[in-house]
Amino acid sequence: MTKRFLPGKLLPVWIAVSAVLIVVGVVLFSLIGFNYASPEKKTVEIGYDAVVYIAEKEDKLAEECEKVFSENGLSFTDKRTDRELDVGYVSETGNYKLVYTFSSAVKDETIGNAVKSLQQALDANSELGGDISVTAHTLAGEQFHEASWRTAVALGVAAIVALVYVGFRFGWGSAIAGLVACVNDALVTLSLFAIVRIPVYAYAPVLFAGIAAVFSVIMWLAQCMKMRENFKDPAYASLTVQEAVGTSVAGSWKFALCFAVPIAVVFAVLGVIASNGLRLFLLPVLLPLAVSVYSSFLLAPAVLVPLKSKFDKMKSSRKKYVGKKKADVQE
Amino acid sequence: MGKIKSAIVLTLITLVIAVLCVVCFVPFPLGGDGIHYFNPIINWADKSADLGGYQFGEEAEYLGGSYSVVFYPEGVISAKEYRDSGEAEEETEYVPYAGGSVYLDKEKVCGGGTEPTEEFKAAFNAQLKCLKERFARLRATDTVLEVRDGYTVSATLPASLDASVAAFLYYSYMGDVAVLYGTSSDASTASQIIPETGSKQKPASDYIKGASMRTNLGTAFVEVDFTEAGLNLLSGATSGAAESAGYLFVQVGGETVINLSVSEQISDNLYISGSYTSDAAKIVANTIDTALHLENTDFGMEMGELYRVNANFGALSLGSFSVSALNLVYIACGVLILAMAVFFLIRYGLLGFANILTYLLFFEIMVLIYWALPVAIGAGTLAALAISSVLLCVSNAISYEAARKEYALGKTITSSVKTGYKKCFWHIFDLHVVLFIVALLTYLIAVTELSLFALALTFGVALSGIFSLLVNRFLWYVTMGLSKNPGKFCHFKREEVEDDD
Repeated sequence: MTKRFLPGKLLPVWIAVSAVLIVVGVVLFSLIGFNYASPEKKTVEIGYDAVVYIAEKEDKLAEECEKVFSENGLSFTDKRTDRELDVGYVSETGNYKLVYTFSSAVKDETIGNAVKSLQQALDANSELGGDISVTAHTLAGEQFHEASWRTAVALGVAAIVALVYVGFRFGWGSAIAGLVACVNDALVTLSLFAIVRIPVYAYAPVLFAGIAAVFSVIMWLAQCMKMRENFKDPAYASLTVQEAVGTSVAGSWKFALCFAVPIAVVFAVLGVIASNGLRLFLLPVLLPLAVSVYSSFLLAPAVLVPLKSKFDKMKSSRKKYVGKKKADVQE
Repeated sequence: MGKIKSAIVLTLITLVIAVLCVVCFVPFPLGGDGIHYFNPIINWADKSADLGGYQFGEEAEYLGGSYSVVFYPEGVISAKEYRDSGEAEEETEYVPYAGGSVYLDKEKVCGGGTEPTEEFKAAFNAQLKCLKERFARLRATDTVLEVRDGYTVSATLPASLDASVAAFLYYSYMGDVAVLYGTSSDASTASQIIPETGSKQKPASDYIKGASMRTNLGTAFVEVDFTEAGLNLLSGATSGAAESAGYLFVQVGGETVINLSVSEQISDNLYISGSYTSDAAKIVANTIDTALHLENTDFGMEMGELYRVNANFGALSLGSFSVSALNLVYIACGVLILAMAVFFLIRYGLLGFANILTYLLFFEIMVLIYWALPVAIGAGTLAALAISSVLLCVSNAISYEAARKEYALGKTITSSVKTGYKKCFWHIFDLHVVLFIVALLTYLIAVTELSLFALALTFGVALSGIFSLLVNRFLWYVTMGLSKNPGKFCHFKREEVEDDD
């Protein structure tokens, strides 16, 4: 006898899994919060006149700087050259600034020593010559809160409206199951960020919760489409709601992965090529995506089973009632 | 469709794709002088702070990246300024702070000691709050505001914002709002009318309710909304303007932000249009409004040197080998498109070409749309392009699979395509509608980067729907017309039925 996947029977299990994750997440969040990536960064700026002093010697300057950093046990996370502009004409003045960025974990003392050594090395280097200034800076990022809350509201509203559409197209049972999955995914994503300690920006947990809600809608939509198609199959007519939902879900993994895998690949590729800051956003997106796959295959179908049974019963009793009413009129 | 017709249509479509490819991506020299170049759309389209590149030719202008400045509160100077001005020549003494990264005025900032006074700290916090509010109200993408070395503020705005430099300049103006009126265009000779001078002096917010940016028929203007008391003062001061023209100045912290000639008595709110772009009008309005409604201090603020920061999104530097941000995006796109093409060719045989042509056309039209939209191409638009590309390819694959199933049942290829599309139409439709709703609502509610991403995604989803349901189906028929055996052409197979006899 073939063993069928019966999602409704496992509902308590999925509720328990989600509840444990959420409770652990809430406790960890209350105790130690999220693992926020420090809004602080440290930089060393080397200012020079590219036209007068060290034209075409920038490579040597960078080499000298990196040698000193290495001697002081420092490794930079980013390097760029900024060009000074005249405010009136927005044209280049010829003054350049070589900027090295370091992690906030690096001690001020280490950077201070490196700056002193570098300044001495550059002053002593007759080949580079000229007036080269070396300064160290600490930068602490400020957050714009309007963008954060509007983002979360936007994604939340969009997910709810999309679920209303799902309700119209696939029935209100599907919409409610989708809503449960949406809320679950948002909360589980937040909990997982608290549990697995993935570093995030201060605004990001809310954003990831919103993204989880949207992914959840898309993955659940894919399941609903497949169920709608499968339920038309005469082979499904003899099955109970539990068996029908289970069979459809079990057979739809290829279809659902058609959505999840390409999205994962795109975010992974972008995450690999992106700068450090963007990578901190792009790679953790894989977490809400994984959560939405879990809920669309396991939790939402389990929630759908009792709802669909109830809605189907209501539908059939309404049909009977209409029939009786018609009969009364005829009498 | 016949073979010849198919060949002609395919040739034409390939030509269109090739021409669009050149227009969008391929620079080439013009005239052979090495100076004049044809710059494709991607070279002269606005790029965000994450992405940037040089145009080719005579004016090798850099587009994209961002501008950055440091704001110095009064009494705080940079290490460079301290050194350049000559320590010995300085009348006031400075003390080094944050390891000598900045220097603080010993008297004004530190009250004779070596650490900033509580009064200065409160003033700096008020200035920071004001700057934060001003930059937040600008709602520009890629805006970065950082406290640097404890008591200076570093700000970054995208170069694609046409009034970035004006924003830095105007936003550095700290202090009260004042309205002056005079008969000369020199503000120093004008008399202050708001706030009223003398013993009954009140804050400017008693006379001016606020300032905002408005647009009407594409013209941006600044509205300065006066209270009744303010209007009375303004009306009284400009009563003689009809006889002899005067000049009105609106100042913030003693710096003029609005300067206009007056030829008649002013008895209503001010609506100033001039040559403002919407960004410039927003900057002026924000400067006045925040100065009116946020706490002001006696400390001024100065804008430091302006720097251009080139884009670094994806810029890799591997030893001596480095790849620019834009080139890296090209490589990533190329790899993903190649992977998509290989998958479709293996799975669907020559039918894969229909998907490839559909996708290339879609990709180029999306680039044209992004260029036409008032958005800068950056990480958000690239992510939207990636997601809508996935959507198009998945939709195409769904339709191919639906037709494959029909063909396996023994139907003709034409009937399989027709029935397959009929069966998967609502799948594709629902998917696009849901994503369109999500993208559109997000665009309408969210701000900055996400709003931009959502706008790009809205267009991407709409175009993907049209392309998967119409263009892909049309190209399927066209490409299939070239083959005598359409089933083999599409890698479709009939279901093998076991004969019981």
